[in-house]
Amino acid sequence: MPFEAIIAIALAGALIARPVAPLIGRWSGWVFAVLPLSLFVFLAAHIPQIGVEGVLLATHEWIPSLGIALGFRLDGFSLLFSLLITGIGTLVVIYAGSYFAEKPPAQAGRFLALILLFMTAMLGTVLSDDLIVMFVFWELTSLTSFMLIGFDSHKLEARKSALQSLLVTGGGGLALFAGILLIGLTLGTFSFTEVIARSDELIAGPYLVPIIILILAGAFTKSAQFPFHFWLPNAMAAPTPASAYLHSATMVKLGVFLLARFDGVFADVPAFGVTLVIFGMITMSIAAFEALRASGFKAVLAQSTVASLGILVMLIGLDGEVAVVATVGFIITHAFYKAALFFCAGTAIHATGESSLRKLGGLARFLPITAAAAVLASLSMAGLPPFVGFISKEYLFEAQLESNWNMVPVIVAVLVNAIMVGVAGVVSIRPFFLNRDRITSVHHGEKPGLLVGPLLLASAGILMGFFSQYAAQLLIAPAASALYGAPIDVSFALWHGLTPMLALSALVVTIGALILVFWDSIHIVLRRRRVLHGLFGDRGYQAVHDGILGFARASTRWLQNGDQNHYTAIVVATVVLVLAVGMLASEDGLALALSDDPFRISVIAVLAIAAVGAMSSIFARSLIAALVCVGIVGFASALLFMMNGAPDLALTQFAVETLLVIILSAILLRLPVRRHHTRSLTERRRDGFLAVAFSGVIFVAIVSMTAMPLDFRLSEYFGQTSYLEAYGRNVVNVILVDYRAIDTLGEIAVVAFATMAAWALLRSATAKPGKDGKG
Amino acid sequence: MNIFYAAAIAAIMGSGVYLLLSRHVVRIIFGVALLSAGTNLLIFVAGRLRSTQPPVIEAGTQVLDPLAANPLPQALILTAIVIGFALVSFAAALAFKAFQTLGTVNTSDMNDAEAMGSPYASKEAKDA
Amino acid sequence: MPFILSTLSRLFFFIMLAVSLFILLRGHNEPGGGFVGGLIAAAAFATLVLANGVNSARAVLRIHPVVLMGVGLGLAVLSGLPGLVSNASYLSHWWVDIAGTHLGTATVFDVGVYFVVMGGILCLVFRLYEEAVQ
Repeated sequence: MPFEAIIAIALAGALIARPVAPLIGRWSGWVFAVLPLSLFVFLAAHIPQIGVEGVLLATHEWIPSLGIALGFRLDGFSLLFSLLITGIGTLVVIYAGSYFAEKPPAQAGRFLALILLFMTAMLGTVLSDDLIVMFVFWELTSLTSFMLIGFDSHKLEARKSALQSLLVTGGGGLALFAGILLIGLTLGTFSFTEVIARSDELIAGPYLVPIIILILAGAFTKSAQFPFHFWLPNAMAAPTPASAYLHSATMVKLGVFLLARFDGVFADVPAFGVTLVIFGMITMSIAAFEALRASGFKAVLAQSTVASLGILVMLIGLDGEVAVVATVGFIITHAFYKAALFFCAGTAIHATGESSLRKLGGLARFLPITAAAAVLASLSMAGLPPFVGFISKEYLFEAQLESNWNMVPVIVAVLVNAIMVGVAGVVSIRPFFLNRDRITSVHHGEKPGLLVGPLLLASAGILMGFFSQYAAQLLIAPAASALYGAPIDVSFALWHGLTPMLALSALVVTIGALILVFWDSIHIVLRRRRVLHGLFGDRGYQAVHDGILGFARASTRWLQNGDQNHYTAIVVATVVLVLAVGMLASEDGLALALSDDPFRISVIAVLAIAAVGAMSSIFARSLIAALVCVGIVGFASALLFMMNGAPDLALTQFAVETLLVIILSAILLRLPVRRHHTRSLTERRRDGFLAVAFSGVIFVAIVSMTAMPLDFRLSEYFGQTSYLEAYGRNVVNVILVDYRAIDTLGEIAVVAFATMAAWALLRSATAKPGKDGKG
Repeated sequence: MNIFYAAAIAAIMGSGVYLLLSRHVVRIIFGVALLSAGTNLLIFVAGRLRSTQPPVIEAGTQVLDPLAANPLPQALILTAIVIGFALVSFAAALAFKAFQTLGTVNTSDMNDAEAMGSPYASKEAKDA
Repeated sequence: MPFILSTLSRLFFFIMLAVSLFILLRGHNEPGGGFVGGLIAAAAFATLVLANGVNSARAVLRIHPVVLMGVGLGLAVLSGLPGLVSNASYLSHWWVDIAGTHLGTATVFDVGVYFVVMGGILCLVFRLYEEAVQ
């Protein structure tokens, strides 16, 4: 199986789309659709092989030192996803070509490039076996989603939503990455195939709880589960073809994909399934409720998508064969009808320029085929026979009834599905058939490119219903078996007999019909309750977002206030704190001991002179006096070097002090030498405190440091080899020019650059003295 | 003896920090000079002061007398002295040039860059 | 300019320059070396500057102090190249034994240090005292 070729072909398409598509013009959608279509056909040709062999693996070395391999894995479940990605991708490319036909050609090229890049990333994510590789592609989907949501970059709303989705899904991606690293730490491998095989080790490992939480965070953010459900409705700022592809059919299902994959790994951790069921139920309840309140065409569809994702998460959380079959079946069903409905919504909005359901009506006159597709798709969404949506709803209820749960999930599912029936009715009947007086003309009619997608998907819904047995054998059984870890015999049929599930379906349709009839009054009542929106909206995200920005702004304003004294004070305070904490926390504690070397009064006298000189420089009234004091410290330290067997240092220090006086006095002669206070009394007190604290820390550090034993090995090595190997008797000089010569080379380079910089600085001063200055 | 060295070095470095915190550029330069002098002594003391005999291999012998002073910190300090000197000289040239063009030795008056305003100010205003 | 200082400065200059060369060359075996030597050489020229002005010091030095630094850095860099040939490690020095005195690339390196330090300081001194004249 040439996995790399699949990804490379998709990537190549993405790379050439931008320059090439504008050249082809209005047919670019049809031309570029050949690429995903050929991938689809190629992948579909592997259905029989997967049915027999179960799983295909391929591995190439990538970063062996980190244990990362370019590993790929194709089983029934990833094949199903790949087919959805390439199949719906084909339709989206065709649709987008027509959708952007009236826009500038460069825009269409950009859009096609992003869509194909996204397709590449999706294929990479579902085909990767190595978790690190999967993560890279996973983040690439977040990035392309960001760029597609912000596609109309001149709109503030689009930019905001794009950033929101990036922060939420990108942040979740990082959590997922941490989880993957912990898995690698526990098992020593990133291969998913091995992770499944050794899941018992992972469960027994020390990081089980963090791994589960981190993976859940990654999946919940991607699939817009509570409490991250808010970003998906906002993502509707993207152009409609992107919404149909990314934000209903494929990308948002990645979270579900991940959870379904890891459900097999964590099969023996009951809490994993329970968490999924609870969060799935919360998400679907909130989203169904919000769907009743939403008024935009796409907004209603987006909320119903979130609800469907909640249903999927809940299904994954349930145990048993039926739940797995229900999951797979609902993934397919939902992708078909929701993408079709998004296409229809896009055509309607494109034709009228109106996006609110309240302003649309009677579009069937202008868009008859679109209206027909919308009706077919919504019948599948409503779960009416003979559509495939009916079968998957039956399975949903069967999975719930067979599970160990009480009736709560069933009741929630009935209510949510009833609202979905209402939504299905509202989005198909209202804009296309009712209120004919609202729209009297349209800007654009139907075009073949705009019809292929919705018609194919909507009719697929009914065909799969009639020929469910084929779908079950070809797609659902391999995918479900891959998830379940054992072959499942799937009897995906329209008629199950008179079962409790059928009764529940009838109940759902009845309540749904009631909701449809009373939609307006429910909608108005709910919209008046603003509190509810605050509860379920993205207010929490806003608070965190604004809080971080506000904190950054305030800390920057405080830390970087433009006052150099302030900067230095912060640096000094930090140094004092770090040193103090470091010394207090050190293992050995503070060994404040006096050294036992002989007491030398002459040395103490010189030390006293140095200390007094340093302190006098603070109090000196004129800068010349201060310079003399600094010079005293320098000469005193030269004497100290001399008294402790360092004639080289003494010589150097004497020479430096002399030259420093020559240089500094040349400068000081031309500066105002009278000292004046540049700090307020409070500042001087604070600075004095800081200086004393600094001295204190240094004092303690030196006393405890000199009390500890020192490793002299290096010095001894230099002393023993200096003459024998480097032919020099002055060990200090030999270290400088031989042992550490490259270090010395760097240091003389520093001297050269510093003095050259000073040379250049002073030259411009002589060239135009005071020309542009005030003084 | 370590306690006397520690006290003197602490006094030198503390004075250096106090001068460094000033807003007078020349006093800042003095602060840098004191801090580097203190640091040199600190490295010197860290190498232990166990001898007054220079680390020079005496004629007729081939290895260094183990009683001689530690050569390693001396080599480190030697370059540090020269670099510290170059740094102070460069800072002095900078201060001199600043005084020539701005007519002040007070860093709080050297705010031409700040006076231009925040580079983000215009963008923030637009967004708001 | 005070006459005595001007006259004595010549004397001081030659003595200091000689001392600096002496310190440079003996540095490998006795206290001294390129750093100290360079500093003292710079001080020698600074004496000339203080006594007779920058121009006379420049005339004595003949080449530009920045060029001096370049020569010094160049010598230091070049002195490491032979090491690459012999044992493939940059800045491992070569030695020749001439009548009991070891001469080697380490001496070249130290001379480079001497020129860099001297040139760097003279850059500053010349600049600053040119200002003073104006």
